Amino acid sequence: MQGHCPEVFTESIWQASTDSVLSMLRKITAILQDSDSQWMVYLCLGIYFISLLLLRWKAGKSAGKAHRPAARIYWLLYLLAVGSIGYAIQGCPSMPALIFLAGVVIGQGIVVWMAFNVRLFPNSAFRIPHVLLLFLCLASVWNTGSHHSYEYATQVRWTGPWDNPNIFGLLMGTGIVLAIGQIVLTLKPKIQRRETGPLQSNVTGLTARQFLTIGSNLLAVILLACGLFHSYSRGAWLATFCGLAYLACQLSPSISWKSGKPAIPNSEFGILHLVPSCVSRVKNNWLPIIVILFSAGILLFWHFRQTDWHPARRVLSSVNPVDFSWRNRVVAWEGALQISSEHPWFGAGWNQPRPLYEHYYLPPRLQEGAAIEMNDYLLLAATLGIPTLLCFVTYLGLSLTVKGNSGKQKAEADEVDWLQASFRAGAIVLLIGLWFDGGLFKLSTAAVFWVLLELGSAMKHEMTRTVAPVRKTANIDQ
Amino acid sequence: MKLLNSLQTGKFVPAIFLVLVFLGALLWAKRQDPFSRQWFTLKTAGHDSFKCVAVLPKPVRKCPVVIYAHGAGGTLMNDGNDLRQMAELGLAVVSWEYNQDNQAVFSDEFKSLLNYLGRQNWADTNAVCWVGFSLGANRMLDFARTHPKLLPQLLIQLGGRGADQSTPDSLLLAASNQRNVGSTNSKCSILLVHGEADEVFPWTNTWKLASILKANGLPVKLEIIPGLPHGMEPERGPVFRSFAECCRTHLLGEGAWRNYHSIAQWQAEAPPLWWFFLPALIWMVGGLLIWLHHRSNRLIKKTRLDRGEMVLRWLAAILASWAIAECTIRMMLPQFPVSSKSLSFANHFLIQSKSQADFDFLAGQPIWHEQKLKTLLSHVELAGYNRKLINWQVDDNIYRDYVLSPAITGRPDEQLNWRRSLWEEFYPRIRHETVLEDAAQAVMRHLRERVTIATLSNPSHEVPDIWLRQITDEAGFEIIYVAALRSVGIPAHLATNGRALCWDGSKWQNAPEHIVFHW
Repeated sequence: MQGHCPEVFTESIWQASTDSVLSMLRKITAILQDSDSQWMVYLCLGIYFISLLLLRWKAGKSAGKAHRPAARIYWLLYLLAVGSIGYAIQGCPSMPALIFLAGVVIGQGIVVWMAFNVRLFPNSAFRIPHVLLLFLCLASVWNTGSHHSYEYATQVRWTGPWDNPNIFGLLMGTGIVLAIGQIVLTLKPKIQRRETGPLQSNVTGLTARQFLTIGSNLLAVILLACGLFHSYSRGAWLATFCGLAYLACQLSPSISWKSGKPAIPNSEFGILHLVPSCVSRVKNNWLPIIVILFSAGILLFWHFRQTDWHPARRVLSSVNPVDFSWRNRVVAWEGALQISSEHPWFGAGWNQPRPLYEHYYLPPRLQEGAAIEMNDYLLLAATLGIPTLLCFVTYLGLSLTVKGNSGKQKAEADEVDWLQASFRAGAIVLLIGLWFDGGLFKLSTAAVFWVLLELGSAMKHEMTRTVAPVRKTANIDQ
Repeated sequence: MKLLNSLQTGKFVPAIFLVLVFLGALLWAKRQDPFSRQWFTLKTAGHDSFKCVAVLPKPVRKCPVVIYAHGAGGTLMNDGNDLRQMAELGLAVVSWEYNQDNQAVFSDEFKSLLNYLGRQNWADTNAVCWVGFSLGANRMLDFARTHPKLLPQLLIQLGGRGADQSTPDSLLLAASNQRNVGSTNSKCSILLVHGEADEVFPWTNTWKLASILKANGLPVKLEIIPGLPHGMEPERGPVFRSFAECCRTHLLGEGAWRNYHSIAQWQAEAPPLWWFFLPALIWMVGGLLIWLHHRSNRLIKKTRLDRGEMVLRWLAAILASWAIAECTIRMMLPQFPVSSKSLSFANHFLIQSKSQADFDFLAGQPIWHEQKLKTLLSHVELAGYNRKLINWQVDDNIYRDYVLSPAITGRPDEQLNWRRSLWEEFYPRIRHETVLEDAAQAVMRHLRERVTIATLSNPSHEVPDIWLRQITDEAGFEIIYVAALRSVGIPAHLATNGRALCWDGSKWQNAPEHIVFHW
């Protein structure tokens, strides 16, 4: 009995602290949902956004002509202007509107914070993935057995601290991409120097600190992959695959390939030499590889569609004609398009698409209209109109295709480029998730998404003071 | 110049492709939508504004109008399902956010709405019906008493207050006003619908009102629905369908159903999705060709493939051929008619061991003359799949004869391809049911929401036809009822008198009865 006392004590403390945190969160949520106070919060966020934009503009101006704020910001401005006007006209509280603006403000805020602290903490941008990964790893082991509300067949779907396995899966996928990006970031100088410069004297070429970084990131990948797997979220699986593919594509041009064949013997860096070789081979043979993958997918579908192994069954259910899950989503997409076509210019307004869909567009055979909230692109079009969706997509496109900071003659800034590429890969995971599972109007995913998107497309002066700190790190490595 | 350069380099090709795909999907979704919803705001004479919505069946044309007033606490947003249920039957249905506190304001709003409708091309003002539910019914009745000149052709009261004994003065006033109503517009008919278990307004009040109105010479029909509460749940859908059928029959007279066009037909006649994606596909193919042309120009010399790359290409070719062969067999074979050869191939390539017994049973039935193999396969696969999902057990023999078997009438030319469409429609309704009887009730309720029962000359009794047209006669309804029950794993068959019988786990009994009002 006595042996149980410390456990009971710890449990009670844990329970008490969890309860107090939850109670505080409930109070905050109540304030945010209250019609009398929400508009003030919205107004404050709007003021923050304008201030942050001005600060970014000022910082860019002082950094020189090349660092002027990008024109893409106008698309975001239009988007928020339409959203805010709609919010003001409607005159009733809307959590999606608030979360949307809050996500944007958080994203802008992180970039401004980095830009203004870059002198004091020159490598702060490199720390952000670590912080994010720490939180995601904690989330991946959070009460995995306590939520039984979501099941696939007989398998419990993990939700972590969230109430939805799809959100959990998406964030796990984002973490995996970031962690792999960190591993490559640590290994990358080795790979590059192997090809371009003098070789290391030790066998692996890695310092103890780098070993620690790689080890901790590998551990993170394992934890997060476990969470992703048990979320049974098909959208998250696909999104993670796409994020990793993007990362692989970014790896290819940033390393100075010669002929696609490893030019240096493999003895020096263990398996490191395989990385550029594999990526180069994939790049040169993309068509047969796609054909192989596609054909293998078709064959697997035909031969294993009745399999009893749940993960395979889950994957193949995406093309199973009797699977209601994806078919209801497609029906909801159709409904969202019908709402958009009847309210093309300014949408139906905040909070309106779901009740509209449930009462005016839902086909008679369905009873539940929640599926319309799973595709944020179409939901945005139904809420704020088609032009707003175009603005959002344009902003995303411009943010993700922003050119690298380094340029050809600035190879020393390559690490910043790679860091930004991994941020963009993380944002891509969430972007794909927004199509299948939603997340733009949920604070947990929206905040991560906007932070990654803004960091992935931030200007050079916002990410690092000069290239010197990066060079310094490289020298330490050598 | 920058724009031109980017066009030349093909940067905009994927972006324009995406825009074309989106626009194609948008047009397709719009074309699939069987309704047009018009949201508008009107003003009363006192300049108070109120919101309205009209749900019009497509194609938008002049059609009978139903004006609907919801109950207390109802909103325009929540009216949608009821409005669509009525609009499905080819009626233009209008609702508005009326003032629920003040009869005078209600009257002003209603007058403005009637004025507005008089100016619309789609509104046939010679065929108008007012439908009031609960408070809406009371308000409409009061309006009718005070505005006898504006009365419609049909007035329907759902769960209204009726003649309240506690206010004898108002009853007398009602009677005298109704007399006036009768003398002013003798065409106005009244349908009173009330739930027997109404906990707000007792049905006896409605019965009294009906008696008073009848005594004043008005054409009145009273329908007391057994066991239904005030909100009409869970039979709300069938009730709305039933009185909307009454509306159409009453407003259009004889031949009301001759040109009836169901929403299922509307959707079936819409062009397929790929038509709308054609511009995007053409654009993409064009862009791809230009890109390939540029690429071939840029390539100076072809590098020789090493052994690994050769192996990769061969592997790709072999796997692609295998995948194409698999797809061809699995997708083409079901298109062939049922014959000994096609059955043998299907048995070899398509049937899994766990479905073998069901396949053999169905293949041995003499019902497959000129039927496609895919029909047989869909019955085997879906019935087996559904059997795993449902929460009750059925004996193998009963399952094969009264669930798996697609033959219902036993006619040699019976159309058998009905299982997938009915299963997709009905399975979501019964997925949580554990008792056969409850599941049968749910099937009946939803079937009645979807299919109209009318007196028709020479209607088709084929299940796919009935489901597409969403209208049939009593005999046809019993046939599709049996098919719907079987589609979700409830054993059912037709009795000798044409009624649907279903298995309750121990014996055969009459399937739950459906609601229908006869006008």
